[in-house]
Amino acid sequence: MIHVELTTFGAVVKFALDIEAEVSSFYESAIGAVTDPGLGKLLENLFHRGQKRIKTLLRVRRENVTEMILEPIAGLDSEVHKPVIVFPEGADDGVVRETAAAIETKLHEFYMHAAAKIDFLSEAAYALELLADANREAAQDLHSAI
Amino acid sequence: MGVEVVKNYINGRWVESKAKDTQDVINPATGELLAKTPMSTREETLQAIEAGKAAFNRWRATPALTRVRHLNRIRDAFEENFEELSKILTMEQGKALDESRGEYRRTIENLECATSVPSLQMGYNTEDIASGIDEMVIKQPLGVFFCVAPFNFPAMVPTWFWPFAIGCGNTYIVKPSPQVPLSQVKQFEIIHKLGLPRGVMNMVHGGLEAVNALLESPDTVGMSFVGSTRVGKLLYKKAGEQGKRAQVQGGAKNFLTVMPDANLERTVPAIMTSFFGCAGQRCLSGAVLLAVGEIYEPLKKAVVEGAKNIIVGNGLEEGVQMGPMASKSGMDRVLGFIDKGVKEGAELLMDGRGIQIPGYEKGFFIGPTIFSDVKPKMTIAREEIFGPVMSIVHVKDLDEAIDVIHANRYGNASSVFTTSGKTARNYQYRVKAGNIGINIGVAAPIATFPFSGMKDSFLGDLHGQGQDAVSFFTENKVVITRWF
Repeated sequence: MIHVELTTFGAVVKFALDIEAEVSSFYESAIGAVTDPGLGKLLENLFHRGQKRIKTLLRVRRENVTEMILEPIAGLDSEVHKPVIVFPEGADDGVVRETAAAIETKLHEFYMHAAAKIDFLSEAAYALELLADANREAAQDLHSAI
Repeated sequence: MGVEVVKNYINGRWVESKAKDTQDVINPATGELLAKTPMSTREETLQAIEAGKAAFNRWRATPALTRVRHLNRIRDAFEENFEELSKILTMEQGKALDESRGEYRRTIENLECATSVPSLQMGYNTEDIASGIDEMVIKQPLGVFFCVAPFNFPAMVPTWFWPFAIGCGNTYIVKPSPQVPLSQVKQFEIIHKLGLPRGVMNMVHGGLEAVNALLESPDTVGMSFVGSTRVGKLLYKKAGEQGKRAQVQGGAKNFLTVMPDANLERTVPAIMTSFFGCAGQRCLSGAVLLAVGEIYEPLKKAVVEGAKNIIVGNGLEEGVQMGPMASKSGMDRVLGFIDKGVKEGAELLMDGRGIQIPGYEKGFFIGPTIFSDVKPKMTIAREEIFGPVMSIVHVKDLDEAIDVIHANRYGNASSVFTTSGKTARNYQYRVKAGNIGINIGVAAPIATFPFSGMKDSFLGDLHGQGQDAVSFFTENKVVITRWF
């Protein structure tokens, strides 16, 4: 992923779309690699959730660019919010779980921070908060599965 | 391989123009030649008028709900093609991708608003205006309308008009700006696939010859124009002589007033997007910043700091906040104004001339430019620059600010930044501008409201968008009824 300064609404959503695609790809690979069927099901749900989230982000981008308040954004850096998405060779269930939980926590932080930065687009901010909520719940589910 | 000469769209078909003259369509970020626009002939334009005329009677007899189903299909198709449409717009016009997305959002909102035509077009009636006699008003379509569109919002501006026009049962001809025809070409490619009856929507590219043909034809009934006041006045006069309806949205010089009690932290980002968004080429862009009283010094400092952070570049790259000027001639014109500001003694706090964008050396870029110590009589404070140039004028109080605003010939938009409700009310009550913003940098009316304008910024009475558009595209017929 190329480092992008998140200085516009479009840049924020583009960054979100890129990481959602990477995260989906991670979950897709992880599904077949774990032995615990419960964890496999959870990862499968997260993979499907990712596809819906991408559609949500595309809709949010289309519907919320408003000329009256298309204001610059400052203080949101993609480097800070980029999750570490690696799928180690031969990783056991515990490592996959921990990696997934860390990704979800990182995404939660990003979406909450981004929502605060684009509070001038309240519908978009709310949509990002909902995405963050889902990340927090997923992180909890993954932690409780450990 | 040769560069494509874009085609006209007449009577449901793509038609090559026979015109010998063309205008280059240039990507303003790269200098690349994208296409050529034909300067369509009078005969070709008359063919489009004939198509609109032939389609009118059948289209007006189509039930209103059926007519707006076509608008719904077009709306859905624009939504499906949203990103591609936005990218084409940025490529030909230069604005940042988010700004193109914003323009398409408004385009779609106009279509959505026009689907209310079955309600908005309702007439009214009264029983027993005399004993046993009833009276009613029917709002009827008139015939073939056309628009002459500008280069700064080539995707959206035509939709201030045509969705309402055809929704009401008229037929329509779009004449895009020859500088930026590709957004309209793409829109018509989409419309072409959706089964709108032939002749209801037509597009003719070109310049003066096409516009004259549209105006002089006895078979067109009205014109919507967005562009310069100079050209707009000529066309408005001609439309009047021909007995046609006309609405002319002209030039602008928009004043933004910042009161000493303004919330600077929230105000500065709004000012940035107003002056430098779309590279200052909105007709709603801020042009003069009126700093009232002691806010002058902190405001100067804050806007320079804000402008330093603006990322200028190719609008297709996410994160770019300001693209190039739309054309080389536009860039040269703005550079001329900056030179004039320096010569007339304004202090150049930030100089956007000569900005280099790596990889885009052939682009028409000017960076954010800020003048302070500007006097109201200076050229840069009076004339429309249409570029990313902010002129800061120090005034002592609100009365002086309003005097400066009213001394200008234009009255398109004006905003005040304040935390005082009384000041805000005073401003909206007194300032002669069609679109007023209270703590809003770009006072852009949404589709359900008229896009207003006053003084030399607007000629006519009914504006584009909303109920005004429905009134413009219909005429009231009064029927008085008695049954024996």
